[in-house]
Amino acid sequence: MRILVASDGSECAREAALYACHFARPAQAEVVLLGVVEKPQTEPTLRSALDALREEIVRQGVGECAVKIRHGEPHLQILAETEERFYHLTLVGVRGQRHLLPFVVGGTAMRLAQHIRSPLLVVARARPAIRKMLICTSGEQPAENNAVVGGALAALIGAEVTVLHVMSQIPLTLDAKVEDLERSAAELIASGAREGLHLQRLLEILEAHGVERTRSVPKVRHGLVIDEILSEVREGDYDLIVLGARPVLEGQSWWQWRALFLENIPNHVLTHTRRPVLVVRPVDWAEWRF
Amino acid sequence: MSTTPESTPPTGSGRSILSRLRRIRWRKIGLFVGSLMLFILGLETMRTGARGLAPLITGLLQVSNPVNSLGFGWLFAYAVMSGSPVAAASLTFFDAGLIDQVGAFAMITGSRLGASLVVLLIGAIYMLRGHERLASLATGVLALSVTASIYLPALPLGYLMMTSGVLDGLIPFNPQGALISLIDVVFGLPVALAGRLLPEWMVFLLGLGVIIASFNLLDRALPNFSLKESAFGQIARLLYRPIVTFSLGFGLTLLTMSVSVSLGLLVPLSARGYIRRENLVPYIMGCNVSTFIDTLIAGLLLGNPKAAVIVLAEMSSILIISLIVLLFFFPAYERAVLRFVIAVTRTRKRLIAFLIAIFALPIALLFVR
Repeated sequence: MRILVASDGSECAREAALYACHFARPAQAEVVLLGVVEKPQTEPTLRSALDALREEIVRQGVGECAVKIRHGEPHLQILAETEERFYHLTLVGVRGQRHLLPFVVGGTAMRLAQHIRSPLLVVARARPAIRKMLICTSGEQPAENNAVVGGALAALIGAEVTVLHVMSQIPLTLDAKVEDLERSAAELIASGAREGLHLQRLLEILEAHGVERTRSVPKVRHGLVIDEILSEVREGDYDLIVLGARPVLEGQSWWQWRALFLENIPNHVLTHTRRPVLVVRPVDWAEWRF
Repeated sequence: MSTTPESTPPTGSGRSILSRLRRIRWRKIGLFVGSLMLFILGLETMRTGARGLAPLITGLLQVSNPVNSLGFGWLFAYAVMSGSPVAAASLTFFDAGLIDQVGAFAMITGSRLGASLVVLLIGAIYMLRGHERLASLATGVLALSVTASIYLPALPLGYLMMTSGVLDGLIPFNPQGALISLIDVVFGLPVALAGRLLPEWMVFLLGLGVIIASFNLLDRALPNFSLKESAFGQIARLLYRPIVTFSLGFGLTLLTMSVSVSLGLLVPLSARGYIRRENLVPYIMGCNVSTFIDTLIAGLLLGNPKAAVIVLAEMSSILIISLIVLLFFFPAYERAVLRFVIAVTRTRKRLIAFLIAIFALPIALLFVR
């Protein structure tokens, strides 16, 4: 496993780097600390901060940790690094007050969340341990990637997983099947409803990646998607939230550009919670078996 | 040797013109032109007979202020089970001097409130017969709630826009020109004939009937929109940005000129008959702005620039309020509306109380002096 930790030498970046140790230690991963120099005169300070952080990470029991410096715009350089070399995970720390978050994190984390292809872990406030993970699913096939990445990480650290789907639909016609709109996850699975089959499939993926059935729970909430995700995060006291993101726009076809029409759920969740959030885009499943 | 045109095989370019002509749906075009002609005929007939309703409007019902007009338009829409004919009628009442500009403005708002109840009423009757569960009526209650919560705050804004004269310059041409003369030439005779043969109030009712028929015909003239293969094909499952579904609702209602038709276009997108509420609320908001397009056309056809200004004020104020909500308060607004919908559809008693209230309210408005 290879983990990239972007750091500007700040305390929040340090927190993110130490949070990465939760995964790096059991996976015996290679950690790369990436510093991006915007002004040449700041390079010595940044380098020494990263060296100190590297030593701290090694003290946490991570065997392999390197420091790398690039020059330019932070988010562009982080993207370039992930394009040039494969990383299983990229971590960034964010600072700022909760309500200012959209503006504060807009600079790097939000831009990365929009453009990065590899899984991005945004750490606003690190948790002391990762015992409970929340994997959110839209109910569509791309959300299987959330289960692949989330499952691999959960298996690594022995975390419990809740797979959450939010039913926000209301009947459009008088003969709509309203029963499905009120059912629990267990009832949806038992009835073979579309959402039930999808949840079942995600549990199977989790199991295939090493999360036993006893440690995974399907859950369905009813209401507005973003509100219900945030409520679940608060009520469930999760240590890590896993969300899928719309595909990166490449401008190749109309069908790709239609993704612009879609709501940016990670953006909303990132701005309204201080919990670590993992943003997942389609990944190569084979690379996510440790 | 001569050949008849029938026996001459078409040349390459002739063939392509023929195949293009065959592809044109002449029936639909015919229906569209027919519905447009009926619309103009109905409007002209209503206009001629509008004065005949003076004993009812200014006498019996004493519609004398904007609050009465709001209630009158609302109840009128219940009576004809549609909003557009009532909105057109309100312009003819204004044109005939039965109600003032502000009254016509309020009556048009009332007509749309009444129209959004129609969906709910059909559902309620269905439900009271024991066919379906209360939750099935959510879309009807939602449509009414969204309409009322946007239209009512838009009333004072529209009033200001209308009375301040800011919209006067937006009618770029004098509608009393060639178009109106042409309408007089084409429709003058039948309308005059109806005016001579029937009492005025009956002429108005005849015009109203013709307008309702024109809207029904227009629904059939519409091409078959297929959103399934478009970027919106998964509107029942995926979450779209509110501004996107708002624009979709706005655009489709602009084309179809009917909220019920543009809402109906969403039905084939969901195999199970439901849709994400996050997508539906802004969609209805978009529909509610462009639904006035037919009333705007009616305003222009009447040849009365002030009538067109009333509709422009209605559209602009609703658009402004909708955009303010959409850009600044949407999550809170959406939550509040949905909470209300859930509260209303939770029990049969509450739903019946709600239905009684929305009948009693416009009646009460009619008696405000």
